[in-house]
Amino acid sequence: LRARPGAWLHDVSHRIPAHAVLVLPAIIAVVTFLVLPVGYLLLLSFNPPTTGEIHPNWQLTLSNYSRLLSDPFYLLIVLRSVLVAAATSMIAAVAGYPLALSLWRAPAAYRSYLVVLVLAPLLISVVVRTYGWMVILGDKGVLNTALISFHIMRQPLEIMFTRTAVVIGLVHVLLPFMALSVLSSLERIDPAVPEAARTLGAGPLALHWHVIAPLAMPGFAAGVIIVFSFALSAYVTPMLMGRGATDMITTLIYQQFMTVFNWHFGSALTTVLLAVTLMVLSAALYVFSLHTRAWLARK
Amino acid sequence: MNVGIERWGYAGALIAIYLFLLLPLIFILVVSVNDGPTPTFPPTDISFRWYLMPSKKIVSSEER
Repeated sequence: LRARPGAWLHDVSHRIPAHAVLVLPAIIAVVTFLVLPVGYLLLLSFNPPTTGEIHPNWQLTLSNYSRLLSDPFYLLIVLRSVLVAAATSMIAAVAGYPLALSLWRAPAAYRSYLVVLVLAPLLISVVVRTYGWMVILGDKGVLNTALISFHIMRQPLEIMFTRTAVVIGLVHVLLPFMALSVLSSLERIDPAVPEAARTLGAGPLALHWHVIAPLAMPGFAAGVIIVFSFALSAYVTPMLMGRGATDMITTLIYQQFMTVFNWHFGSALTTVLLAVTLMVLSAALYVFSLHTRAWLARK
Repeated sequence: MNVGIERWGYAGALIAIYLFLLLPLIFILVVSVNDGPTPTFPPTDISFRWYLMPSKKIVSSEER
C-alpha cells in the first residue's frame, strides 16, 4: 500500500494537541523578542569588561556586579531611580483613582470625550510633551513668571532639570495608564451592588470605602504595577527633564552602552534593573493579594 | 454642609487633574502661534507663520 501524499503531516497534526499549535506563535515571539535578548544581556553581564566588545563568551566573572554593588555611587543611582518610580506611582495612584471614578460616573454621552482628554498626553510625542513642560516649569516659564509677578516669589523656583520635574513629567504621561486600569475594574462592578448597598443604608463615603474601592482593587494594583514598571524604565523624560546622564539608572545604562561602550557593565546594570523591578512587583502583588484576602475574609 | 464641601473639593481636584493632563498641550499650542522669535507666554503677537514656513530642501555636503 502506498501512503497518501501529505499523510505524515496529517499524522503529526493529530499527535500535537490543538492548543499547543495555537500557542506556538506566541512562544516563538516571546523567545525571539524577550528570552533571547535578555539571555544575551545576562551572559554579557557575566563577561569581563572590555571596551567595545559586544559579543558574549563563556569567560564568566562577577566583576561587573561586584563593581556595581561595591560602589555607593551606583547603588545610590539604583535607589534614587526606585524612589522616583515609587513617588510617581504614589502620585499617579492618588490622582488616577478619582479620575477613573469621574470617567465611570460620567454620563454615557460625555464619557468618550473625557476618555480622549485623559488619553491626550499619550497622543503626542514624549519630546513635544516634555518641551511643553519646559515652557511651564522653566526659569522664565509660565509658573515662575506668574509667581514673581504676583509677588509670591522673588527668585524663580528651580523645578526644571530636577527630580521633581522628572516626577511631574512621569506622572503626566503615566496617569492615563493608572486611570484606565482602575476604570477597567470599575466597569466590571455590577450596578446592582452599589444600589443594594445604598438600599441597605450606606452613605456615599461608606458605599465607596466598603463596596466600590475593594472591588476596584485589582485594577488599582495592576495600575500601580504598570506605572511603577514604566517609571523605573523611562528614559526620555529623565534625560530631558532631569539632571542628566548619571542621575537615573536608565540614563546611566544608555551612557554605558552608547558613550562609554562598556556593554558588559551596561548589561549588569540592565540585569539589576530587571531584578529590582521583579522584586518590587512581587512584593506589591503579595501586599495587594493579602489585602484582597483580608477583605474577602471580612465579608 | 459637609457633603457640599466634599463635593466641591472633589470637583476642584478633578478639574486640577484634567488641567494637569492638558496644560503642556495647551501651552505648546499657544507657543506655536507665537509671532516672536522665542517661545514666550503669553505670546507677544499671534501669527501662524510657523505653520506656513516653506519646506527647505535638505542637501548633502557633497552637493553643497
